[in-house]
Amino acid sequence: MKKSETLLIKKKYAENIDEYIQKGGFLSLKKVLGDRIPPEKVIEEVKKSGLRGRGGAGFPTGLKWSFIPKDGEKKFLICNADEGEPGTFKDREILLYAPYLLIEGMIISSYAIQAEVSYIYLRKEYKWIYDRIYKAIKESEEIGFLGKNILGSSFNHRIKIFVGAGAYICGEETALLESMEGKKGFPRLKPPYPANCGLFGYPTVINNVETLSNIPIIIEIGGDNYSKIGVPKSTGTRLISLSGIVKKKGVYEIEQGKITVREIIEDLGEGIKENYHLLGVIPGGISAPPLLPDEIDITYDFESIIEKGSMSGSGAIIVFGYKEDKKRELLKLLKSAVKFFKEESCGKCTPCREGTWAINDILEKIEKRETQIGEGIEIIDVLHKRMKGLCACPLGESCAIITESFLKKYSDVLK
Amino acid sequence: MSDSIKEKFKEILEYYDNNPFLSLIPILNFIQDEEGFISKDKIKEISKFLNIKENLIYETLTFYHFLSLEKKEKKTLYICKNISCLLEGAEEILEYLRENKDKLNFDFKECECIGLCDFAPAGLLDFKPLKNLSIEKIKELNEKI
Repeated sequence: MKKSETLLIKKKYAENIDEYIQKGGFLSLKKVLGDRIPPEKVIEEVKKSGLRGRGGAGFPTGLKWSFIPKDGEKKFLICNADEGEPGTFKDREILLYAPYLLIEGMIISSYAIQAEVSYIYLRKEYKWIYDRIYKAIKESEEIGFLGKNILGSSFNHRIKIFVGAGAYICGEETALLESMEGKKGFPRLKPPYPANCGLFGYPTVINNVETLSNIPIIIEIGGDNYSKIGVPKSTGTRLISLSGIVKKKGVYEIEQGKITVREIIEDLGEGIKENYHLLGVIPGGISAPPLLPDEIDITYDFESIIEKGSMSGSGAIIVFGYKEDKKRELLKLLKSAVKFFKEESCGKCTPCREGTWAINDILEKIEKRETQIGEGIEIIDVLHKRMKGLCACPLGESCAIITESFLKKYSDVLK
Repeated sequence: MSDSIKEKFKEILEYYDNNPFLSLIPILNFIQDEEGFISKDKIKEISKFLNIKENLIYETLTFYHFLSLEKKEKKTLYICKNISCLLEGAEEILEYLRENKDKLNFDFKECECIGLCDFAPAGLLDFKPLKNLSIEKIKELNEKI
C-alpha cells in the first residue's frame, strides 16, 4: 500500500490570520492564558509529549525549558530560523505557510519560561520571507495576541525579527547568540549553557522553527495524546525535506517511526528519476553519514537511524546517484560536502580550522589518484581523533565522520 | 550622514530596544542592501552612532558572507553549488557563467546551501530566489538586468 503523509503542522497552513483562526488557531493560547494554566504546567505538558528538538540534535524540549531559572527579571526565547544544513528547507515551508502557528507556539513557549521578548533569527538567505513573517506578527499584534496583558492576563509579549548576515555556523545556538550580540559567529565553550547564560548573559531558550510550531498542537491535543503519535522515543510528526534524484521533491510531514526511508522515497517522492542509478541516501543533512541502498528499509525516527550509524539531524533526506556510467561523479558530491565544512568552519578552534582543509586536500589527492582510498581513510581517522571533543562545536568532526564513512562505503565506486 | 540614513539608524536602534550591540548587524545589513557594500566612512559613522569601536565592527563584518567592504559595480548572483544543486546541474551553469564572464551584466559567486534544494539548481539575486535555473534562464536574466 502506498503510504501518505500524516498531517499535524501542515493542517495549520493558512494564508492569513482569519483563516488560521478558522482552523482553530490561537485556541491553545486562549486555553493557556484564559484558564490561567501555570507556566510549570505548560512545561510539564511539553515534557509529557516527548517532543524532541527538530533542529538537529533532538534534545527533549520540555527538559531544555526546565533548565531556565524560575527567578530573575529577564529571559529570552529565540526561534532559530537559520536552517543551513545542506538539503534542509522544511523551516522555510513553515515560515511561508504557517507563520501564525509558529507565532502562537512562540507566545506559549515564552509564557512557559516567562520571557517578555522573543526573537526570530532569520537567515539572510531567507530575507525574501521577512515581509511574510513581519506581516503575520503585525496581524497578531492588532488582534491582541501580542502586546501588553495578552487576552486579559498579566502576560506581556513582543516578537522581533533579527536577520543574520550569512554564516552556517550561526545555526549553532551559541554562535547565534554571539551573532545577535553584534559579534562574529564563534560558538561558545559550554558550560555555561544558554539556559543560564544566554543572550547578553540572560537565561535564554533557543528552539528550532518546527519545534516551536509543535507547541500549540501539544496544548491542543494534550501531551499524553501527542506522545502516542509516532514511536516512544520519537514522538509526533516530522517535516522532511526531500531532494536529490527523486521525481517529486518537497517538504513532507511523516509520522515518526511509521514509514521507512525507502517508502519516503518511493511513495512520497514517487521514486528515482528516470535514467538514474541509486547510490545511497543522506538521511539528515550532509552532516549525517550516508545509507547504502540496502540500508534504507528502516523506519524514519531518531533511534532507528542512529542504530544504522547515521542520524536524522535536521530531517533533510538527500537521495543521490549517477547517470550513465558516471559513478565516480560521487567524488564531486563528497568534495562539495567537504568544501562546505571547510568554507563554513568559523576558524575559532584549530583542529577544525586546519582539519577541514586537510581533509579537502586528501580528497583532491584521491581524485588525482595520488592517494589510495585506504590510505586516505587512515589519515582522516587520525585527524578525526584530534578533533573529537576538542572543538567548541561538532562542525569539524562531522566533516571527518562523513568523509570517512563515504570513503569506506563507496571505496569500490571511487576507485 | 544624510538625514534619511540617520532616521533609519534610529528606527533600527529603537526596534531593538536601544541596544547598540543587537542593532549592529541589522544596521550593517541595511547599509549593505542599500549601497552594495559598507564603506570606511560608513563604519566610522556607525561606530559613532552606536558607540561601538571601529575595530569591533570590522571584526564582525569581515566574518559574514553577505557583508562586504568592497564596492561592486554590478549586482551579485549567488549560485548554490551544494549536493542537491550539483545533482541537478549547477556545475554546468557555473561553467557557462565562467566562460561568458565578460558578457554578463552581473557578477556571480558560488555560495553554500540557500534552502531551495527542491527547486535545484537554485540561486539568489537581490536576495530573491531563482528557481530551477538553466542556461536559458541565465541568458534571459542577463538581458533583463
